[in-house]
Amino acid sequence: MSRRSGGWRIIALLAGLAAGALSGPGDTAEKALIRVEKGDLWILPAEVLARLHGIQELETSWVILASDEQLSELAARRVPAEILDISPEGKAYFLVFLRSPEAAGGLRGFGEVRILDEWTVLFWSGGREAREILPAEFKLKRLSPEDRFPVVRPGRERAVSAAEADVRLRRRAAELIPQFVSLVSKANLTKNIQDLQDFRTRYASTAACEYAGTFLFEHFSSLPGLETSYDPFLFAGTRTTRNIVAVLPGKSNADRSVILCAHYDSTSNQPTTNAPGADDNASGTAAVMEIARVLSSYAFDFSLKFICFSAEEWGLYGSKHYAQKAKAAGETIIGVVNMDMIGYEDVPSEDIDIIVNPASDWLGARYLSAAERYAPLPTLKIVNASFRGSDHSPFWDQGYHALCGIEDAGVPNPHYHKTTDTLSTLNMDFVTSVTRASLALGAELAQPVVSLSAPAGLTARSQVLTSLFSNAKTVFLDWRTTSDQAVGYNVYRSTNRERYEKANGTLLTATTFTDRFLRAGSAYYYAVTAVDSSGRESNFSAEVRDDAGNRK
Amino acid sequence: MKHRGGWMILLLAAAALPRGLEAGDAGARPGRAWLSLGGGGGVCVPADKAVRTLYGDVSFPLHAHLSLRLAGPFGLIVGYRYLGAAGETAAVGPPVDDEGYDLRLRVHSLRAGIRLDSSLGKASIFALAGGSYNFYKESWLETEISFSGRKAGYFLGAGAEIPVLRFWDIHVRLEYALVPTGKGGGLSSEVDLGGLEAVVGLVFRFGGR
Repeated sequence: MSRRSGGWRIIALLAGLAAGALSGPGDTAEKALIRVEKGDLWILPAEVLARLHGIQELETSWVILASDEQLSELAARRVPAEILDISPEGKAYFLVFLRSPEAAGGLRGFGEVRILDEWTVLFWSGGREAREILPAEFKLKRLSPEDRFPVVRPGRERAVSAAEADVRLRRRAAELIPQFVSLVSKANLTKNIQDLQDFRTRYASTAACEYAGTFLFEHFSSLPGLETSYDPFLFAGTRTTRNIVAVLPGKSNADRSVILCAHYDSTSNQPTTNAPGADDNASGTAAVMEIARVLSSYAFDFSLKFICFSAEEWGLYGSKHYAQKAKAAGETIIGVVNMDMIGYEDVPSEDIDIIVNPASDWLGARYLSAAERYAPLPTLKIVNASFRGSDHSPFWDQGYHALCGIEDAGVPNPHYHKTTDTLSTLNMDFVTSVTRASLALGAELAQPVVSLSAPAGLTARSQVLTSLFSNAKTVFLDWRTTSDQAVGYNVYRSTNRERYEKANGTLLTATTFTDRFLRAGSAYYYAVTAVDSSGRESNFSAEVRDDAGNRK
Repeated sequence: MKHRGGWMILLLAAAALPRGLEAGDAGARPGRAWLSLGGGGGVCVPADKAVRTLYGDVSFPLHAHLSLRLAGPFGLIVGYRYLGAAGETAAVGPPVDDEGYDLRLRVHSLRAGIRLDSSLGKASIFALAGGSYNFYKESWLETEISFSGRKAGYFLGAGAEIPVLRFWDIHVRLEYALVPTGKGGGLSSEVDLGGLEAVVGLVFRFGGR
């Protein structure tokens, strides 16, 4: 903050006047890119916030595309706003993530620079692609004024404890996870990185990158149970490339998924000819390949998606394309585990930084828990909504919960985006540990199926009945079975999503249940299990809140 | 506005009583002490909308009272009131199912107050005001849900006693009672169990007139 130029920070009154001078009466075209501190935004009434056109959320501020009316309104409400640019039409804006605050100086002369926070700047040079202008050392994210994200105060979901993870998995299912972890092969990871490095470059827009995509497609296609596809998209104008998406469909709730992902493209100071990108990001890609190999032999309640994104180095184009598409399709994503640079050990006993935004805090906590239990390695959770330089960021933008696992948030790897980023510089024990922890979390979230799969489609509706002096909540639940072996069901209820108690006295044979005489002022969470003729019980179904069905 | 009925009764009583006093006590003779025992039934319109929603717009309490004329127009009244009502639970917000439970409300009230008597022709007219102590219990039938409490309240009213036999009078009165419980549910945060009530009954006057 201290580095921000005071000249750029003016109150919205001046902004409003400027906008007024730039537009005629009645002109409602959005024409100014502004930055507003969150602390100033949250004092605005909800209806004003709802009209704002958010482009990018950062840790302490929002970048907003504002109309002249909105600028005037902010001025009238004495909300300070910093004008970043006017007339954004036709410009290609990028967030540039700095390796050090001082690195912002290296951007001068390439284009327009506005400092957003200590580690993040806004950059543009007309409509040109930043990747084609800036030195390779800068990490990028393309911003699109066409995007419109709601400017809302972020909610912080309660961290889900290891105890909670345990209760949702049947014991025998949980016992599978160490077995999965033990199957992760350091040799395979090493080979995967070497194979990817051998393409010499995976710089998106080159043929070699596309060959690498085909290689990944073939790898996933060779694994039984996976449905593998290309996800092509345009980036940086008319260039094309492909994400590689491999899906292990869930046995009970295939429409809910856990994503394990990494970008497979690379860059360097000679991007089109020599960008081995072993750490960035053959390491993460190798982990996704290996996790897919291990888990594809097993069944899970929820779908597992193994995704290798392309064009990350150009500005997160591949993940943005995928996340936008998922949101538009109404896809339910339980969590996204993004691995980006998980192989370089700058100091002995390297830790893995788990970057989350406030809403994804619970996911970070789960990662730490999984790492502690299944793949001991030092971990550090960092909650920082400004850490936008990897493929988790577009998922945050779309409101999904995602984390980024990275060897060091500050990127001290001296080979970063250089031709020297090769396998020989990596610590493969560290890569293996991170892969195991990521696998454990992915498996835990997707819930391995041991006997029969969990029921699906659990819905809950609740109503409060009242008399003069008493209230009672009634919750109506229904679900559908996913297994022919199911002979009955149990319903579990919790008020804190951690301690569950069985709500039914005897085994239910119908796929409905009414839970009566509950406290009207409490929120209840439910999950259902199926039971087979031997008494074996499935994992928990997807959890629902008691009033989830009321809102539909 | 909630207690409009009470104020109306008070105003009517205030307007009627001086005229009665001036009329010269053609009914009960002033200054003579007497004791009467009465009982009757009432028609009550609950003041609280929540009560009306759950138990209907009117309820039918039972009354018993003992009146003691002391000196001049002044007397004491003690009584007992019983209200039993049946109703049904209501959904808070849009209902998602037609589920509901039968309700039962019981209110036992012990009352004491002062009574100011006068006469109008052969009839005795009076105003009264006092306090009550109320024991109430609401139950959801066929469930274990119930709530009971005790709370003080107030009442005021006015009426007339019209002689029909030597020892017997017809007793009519209009009263307004407040029973603020300080408790509530989904429809009202603080339920008032009182209301505007018309009572009709018989009074036995010991010793006659």
